[in-house]
Amino acid sequence: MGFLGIFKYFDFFAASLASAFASIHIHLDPWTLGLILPVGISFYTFHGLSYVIDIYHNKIKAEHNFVDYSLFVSFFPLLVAGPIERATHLLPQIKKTRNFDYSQAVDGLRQILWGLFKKVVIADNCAEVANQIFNHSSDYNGMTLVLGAVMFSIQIYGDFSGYSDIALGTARLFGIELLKNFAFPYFSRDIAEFWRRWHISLSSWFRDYLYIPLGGSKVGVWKKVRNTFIIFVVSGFWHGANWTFIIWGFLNALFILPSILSNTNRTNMQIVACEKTFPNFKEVASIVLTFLLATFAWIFFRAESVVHAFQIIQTIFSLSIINAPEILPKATLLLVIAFFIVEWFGRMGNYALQFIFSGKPFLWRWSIYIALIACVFFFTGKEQAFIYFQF
Amino acid sequence: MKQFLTRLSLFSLCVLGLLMILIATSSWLAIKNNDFKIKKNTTYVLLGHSHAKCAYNDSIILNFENFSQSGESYFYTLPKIKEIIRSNPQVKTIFLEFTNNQLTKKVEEWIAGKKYLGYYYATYFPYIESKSHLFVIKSQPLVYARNLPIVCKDLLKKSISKHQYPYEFGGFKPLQGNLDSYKTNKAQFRNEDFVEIKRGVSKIQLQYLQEIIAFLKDKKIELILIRSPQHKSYQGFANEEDFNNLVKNELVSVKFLDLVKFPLSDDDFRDPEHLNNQGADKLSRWFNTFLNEDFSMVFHNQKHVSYQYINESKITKK
Repeated sequence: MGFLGIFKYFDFFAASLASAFASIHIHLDPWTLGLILPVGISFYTFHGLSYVIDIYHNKIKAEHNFVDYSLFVSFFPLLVAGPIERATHLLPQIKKTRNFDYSQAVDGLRQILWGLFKKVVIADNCAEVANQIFNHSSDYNGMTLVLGAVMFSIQIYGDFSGYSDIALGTARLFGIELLKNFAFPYFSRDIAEFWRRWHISLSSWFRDYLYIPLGGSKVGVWKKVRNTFIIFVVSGFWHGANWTFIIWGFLNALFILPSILSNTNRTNMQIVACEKTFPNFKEVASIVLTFLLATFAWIFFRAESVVHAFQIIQTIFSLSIINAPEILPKATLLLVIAFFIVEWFGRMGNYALQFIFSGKPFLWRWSIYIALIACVFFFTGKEQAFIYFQF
Repeated sequence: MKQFLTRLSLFSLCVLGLLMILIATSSWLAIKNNDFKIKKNTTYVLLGHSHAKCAYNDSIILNFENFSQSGESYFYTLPKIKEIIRSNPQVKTIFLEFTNNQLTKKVEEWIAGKKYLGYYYATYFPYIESKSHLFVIKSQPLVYARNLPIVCKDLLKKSISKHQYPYEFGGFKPLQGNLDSYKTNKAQFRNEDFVEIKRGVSKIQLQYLQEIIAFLKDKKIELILIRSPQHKSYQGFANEEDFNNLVKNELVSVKFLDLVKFPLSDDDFRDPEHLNNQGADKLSRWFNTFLNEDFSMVFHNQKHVSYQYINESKITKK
């Protein structure tokens, strides 16, 4: 935690303190370290913390085999952007003798391919549109900014869940099952469900190591409110030492609070339209509303500063929203639609491709894989770094 | 494990095979759809990089077209020349920019550097010979692999749309501004637009220049190497000695027109190595007269001539 404090938060607190003093006309020159943030520091700090806390709570025994412990700490697929593993889940798998499993390896490769498609085709193409709009937000009307925010929502999903799929698939090739990190979050019917499906390894980490120790939901109303805000604001702060992330966390707390207070936060536990082909009207409306709320919060996540985010929101809620978008990335929109159709039909699996083609003749499956590889080749967007590498 | 590896290898081979078929088909379609036809009355063609692109305004030079493109190395000029000659039997003379910065090793980045692979290599992919493809793969395998999707995407686009190559990927570009404004706003100019000149000669550039020379000789097309005017402050003169040695020793039988000291003022340059619109206008008017009056005579006595030589010959005649 000390490393995280120094590398990630020291400069933020120093600058914030100086700003606070400046507001009462005391001008301080903040003493900052200006250190380069090591890649994935937030991920492996939390990864390591889970080990220490679980030993403290007697959930596991301390590992005495240095090689096994080192592998747990530095298992390469999850090192830079998760999933944030638990010692109770990963260490026993490391200690167990593993044999090569054909179906597990094939499934791993399939998940890697799907992850690659999500990152290179979906996220990187959406990123081009989102970057263009966010970087020149003052030049666009409200509807274009809405499009930019939607594109960023899809970009961050494709980018992060794509990385997670690649990590999980790679681990499977070594016979290791990592924690699931995404479960089709944009098909959620409320924000509580969204948070059970988005960055699951982080949400469950905060639930187990922060929310429940604080009393969770089995406390009075005010404590429930306090606990909800604590975990979401801390989650925002975990992403980055910037007020934009803190407001993003705060907004999500605000969105989830009604369902926690009314005890309806565990209404939608199963995937939407389970065992049905299409959702009903109410489900569609809930999905759209949840997506819009999540997208609204993402504006703060993507904006350069709080002022920038408010400028965007101000333009969105102006009369300029009744105009048509000034940018219409037809090819990207078609790819996104095709992507969500596949995600919809594959939503019963751990990832979209897992069961969608099972039972089909091998020629059919291979054709699909080759088509996906062709998409990666021909529809690749401009190379973008993984968003979560900065955390 | 054995079954997994066998199937994985088989699948990889399938993907590779299909990719090759796709690339071959797209290349064939691209060659079929796109053309290198130029105006029927054009008998003089100029090729080269940004120096030539900004210096010769072909709208004021008779029977002459400028198809130079910024950052184009001889590696990509070779297929361009081949296709222009193949599609335009009326072309009698090729002017090819030959200047200091084309010799320096740094220019090899113009062949297989990341930016150039994604643009020039993708553009000329169907027209490049297999040994040149191999050269690019060998010199930058990782950059090549990372750019392959961009190349394939571009190829696919070109296979389904029509392009007039010489006009789309070349042509005169008038520049605004002058040397004073360049010096004041130097920081605004991208460093990548200017090549840092060091001594030494790029063997690759020279090899492809020799291939262009050999090709044109074989096709009985006149080739004239041409050096466009540069300002005296141009740092590219750092390798002037190498440049002169090359001209005297290795290019002794090739016609060379040196206009580097063409009389221009500071106001005629956008920066030390590029003419602005005003400079291009002056040079092009002179060049038009030269092509129509002196050109047929000037190379009779010697292969290498400069502006000063042409000017003095004119005075002597009078």
